[in-house]
Amino acid sequence: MFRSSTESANHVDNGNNSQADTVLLSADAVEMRFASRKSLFSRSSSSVVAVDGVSFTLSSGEALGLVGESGCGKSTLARISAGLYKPTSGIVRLDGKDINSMSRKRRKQFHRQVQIVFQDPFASLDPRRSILEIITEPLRIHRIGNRKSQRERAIDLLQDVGLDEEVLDRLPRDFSGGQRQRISIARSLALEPAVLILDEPVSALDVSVQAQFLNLLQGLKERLNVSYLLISHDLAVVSLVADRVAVMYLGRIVEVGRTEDIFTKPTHPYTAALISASPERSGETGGAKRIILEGDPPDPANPPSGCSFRTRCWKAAEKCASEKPMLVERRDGQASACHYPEL
Amino acid sequence: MDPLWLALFIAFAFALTALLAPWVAPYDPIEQNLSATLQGPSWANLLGTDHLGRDILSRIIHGARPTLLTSSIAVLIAGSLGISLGMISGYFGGLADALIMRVMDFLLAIPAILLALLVIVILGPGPSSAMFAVAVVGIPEFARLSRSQILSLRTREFVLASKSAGASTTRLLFRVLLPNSAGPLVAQAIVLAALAVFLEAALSFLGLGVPPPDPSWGQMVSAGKSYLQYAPGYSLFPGVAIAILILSLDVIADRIRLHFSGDENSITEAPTKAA
Amino acid sequence: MLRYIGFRVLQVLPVLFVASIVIWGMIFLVPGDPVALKLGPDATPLQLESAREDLGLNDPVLIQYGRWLSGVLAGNLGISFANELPVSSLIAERLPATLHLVIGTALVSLLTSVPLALLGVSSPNRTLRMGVSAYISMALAAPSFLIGVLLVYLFGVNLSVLPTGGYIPIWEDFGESVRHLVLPIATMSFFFSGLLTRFLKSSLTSERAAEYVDTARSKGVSKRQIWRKHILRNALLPGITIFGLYVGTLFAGAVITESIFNFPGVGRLLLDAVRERDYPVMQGAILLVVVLFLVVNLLVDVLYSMLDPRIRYAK
Repeated sequence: MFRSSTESANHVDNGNNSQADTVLLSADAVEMRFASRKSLFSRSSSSVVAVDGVSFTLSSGEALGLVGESGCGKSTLARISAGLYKPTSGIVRLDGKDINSMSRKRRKQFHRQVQIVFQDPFASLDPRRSILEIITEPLRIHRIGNRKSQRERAIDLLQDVGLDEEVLDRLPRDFSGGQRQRISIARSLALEPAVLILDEPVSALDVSVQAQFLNLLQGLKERLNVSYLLISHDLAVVSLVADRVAVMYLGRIVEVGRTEDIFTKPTHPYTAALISASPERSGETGGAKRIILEGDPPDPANPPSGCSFRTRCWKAAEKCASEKPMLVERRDGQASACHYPEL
Repeated sequence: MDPLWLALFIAFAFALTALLAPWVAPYDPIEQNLSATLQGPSWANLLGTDHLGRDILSRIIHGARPTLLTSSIAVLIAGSLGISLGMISGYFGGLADALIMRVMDFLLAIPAILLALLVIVILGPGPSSAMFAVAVVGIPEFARLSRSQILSLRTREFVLASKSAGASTTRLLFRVLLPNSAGPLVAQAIVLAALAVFLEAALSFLGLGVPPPDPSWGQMVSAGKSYLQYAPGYSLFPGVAIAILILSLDVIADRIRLHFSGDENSITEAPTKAA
Repeated sequence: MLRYIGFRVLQVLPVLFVASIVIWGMIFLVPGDPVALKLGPDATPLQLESAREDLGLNDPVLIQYGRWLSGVLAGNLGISFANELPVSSLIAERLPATLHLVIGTALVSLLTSVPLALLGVSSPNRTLRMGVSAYISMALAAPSFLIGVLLVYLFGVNLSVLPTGGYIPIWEDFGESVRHLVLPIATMSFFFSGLLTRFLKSSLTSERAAEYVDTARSKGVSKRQIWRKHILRNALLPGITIFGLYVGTLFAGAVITESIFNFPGVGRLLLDAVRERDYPVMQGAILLVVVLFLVVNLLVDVLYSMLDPRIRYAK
């Protein structure tokens, strides 16, 4: 195991990706291109770029939030980061090593260190297996312990997520959405991963249950020193748990920075629009007016030239159509991709 | 009464009879009694005798054996080959998928009897050829079914979850995907069993299956054709046995299919925003 | 429309290709030497070798396939092992008899299953409906040879009403021809009408439950009209596809029926070919059936897309 358990949770407050903290997981210009369905008869030029040159870093003990509308590519990015998809270009690194060029053995190790929790609680648990089997499956795959010790570990994990031992011998269909998500988390923690990727973990849950769940996540992060890559379309969800936030639009990261900075001083117009639409946080931007975006999100198969947000941006100018904006650092630890950022 | 129970009873009774034939049958099935040929049903011979004086009931009981043997082995072969091909096709896709499915399409384009005859022509007549013939007939449907199951399941989150925990492809295929596709595959196995009973009997009827003097239901129907005006039971009793067995298997298969198509929906339940 | 046809044809070609390879190649699957099989165990090595040369078996595999394929495309399906006659003429000779059976069965099944399906779905009498279901179950379970033998027993032996063998083309003597056709067609129709009735029943049931029926009812359209103009038409249409799927089964069923009733059709030809290990006949017949199946299904699909406006406009 490479993760040092003595690492303190201190740097949670320091959201800055400072060089002193170890970078665990990183993406480097990752691109994911899907061929469009009709490619049999039409030319292959019609493909959808779900993830368009995204880079990020995740340090130990840190929670990075990934926000964006549905279809912006965040789920795809999550799965690429978990090693479920192979990106069409770019590199995902764990501990500095490219995960897609690892040997089978190393790759298995990678899976021990990076785990993923999915959105749909009704589809993420094997309906034919008992909870015990589901939670201990990772242990069995990596041949850790025996039946007895595996069962004990399962009981511990269930305790961590606030569920009782008697849950073990039942089937998924006996449980509610919230409970199933907890079971998913318990399973994902079985291997003591360093990184937990959560793809819309609370979107399928009732609002009242969401808060409970997020508290659980926060508590686990502190106690077990796990890093999170937390993906959601809901700003409120992300703001409760994440130290840093990255905002995605049509496959690209348009802004990234510490959570408080992003919410109080957004520099990208899209970020500002998102915040103003969220009832909980809009108050913090000093009572800014509600921004309503015009138009529909563009077709990912046919994105606008230059800045992909320009078709809905009130600041759009000629430069935005001709030149694609790059992620540029504006303030300490905060960067955005815009030609006319709000400073 | 629910017909399912009757069907299950019949199917089990048949299997049991076939297995215990030597102990259940009142007479030796190939023992001839030329002084009592083509007798109708009597207390001595409950279903009468055939043209060589052999007891029809005993021959029917023993005739269950080739039927059971052929259908179970054929289903086993067709199932393992067909499901494996379907899994490869569905999981790996690409060229393997295209090739395998073209061959399956071809096999499906030939009606069952003709395909069986084709195999018999190659292998020569006989009980083991009949087994292979039925197996070949059964492979494509298994392949198609398991392929479509794999295709629909392989992107489900619980499969991805196992994958992200580091599960190997073999493990994913056999421990996760296959158990979750079991339902429709079991139903298909029973459907194939019913078809196997029919095909084996048809082949025997045409003289291409179990050779005489060993009894087989299809062959008895064929032999009895010449004696219809003296002892119609010779043909009709074994024929009815075939029909009843096929009917029972059909009923069981329908029920299994119904049960699992209802179950399937519970897996794909939309998230209902429950607590 | 043309594009759709072209697309469907393109889909069929790979299957045809695979079929041709498997059918042609099957002779190599046979244990033993094909020439030895043809000439019998008494042939001398010299005879075997010259036969091999004649048949072109010493040429590379690809060339043999090419030769066979070009022959097939020109209509030459090979020479029968058993009697040295061209396979295509053998089949052509027997085809009319089998067609009598097949077409007759299709007609009879259609005529019986439509009213049966209607009864089974809309009759207010529960017993009647259950009767139809029972009929379907039995028709699908009873093997055709049992039905054939039973019919022979009831009408041929016991009542001596109908002949139990022989064939007379319909254009020679209508009455006699029909008399000879009754039992065989009845035998084959039992199963096929069961299939058709089951399909139509489910088609009618789902159409009846469709929303547009409620809409029409609420507008005041009479039940009869709804049935005639909407439900029936919409339910019968997919029935066309059934014919496509089962056209092969019809021919296959003929094998057994022709055996029972001594009918000199393609089915009997096939049986004899199997018994005598006459591969060219087998190959020719299977090829024909596969091509027929694929072509008929293609035509059915195209026809269906022409008749069903939903597909036409969907594109």
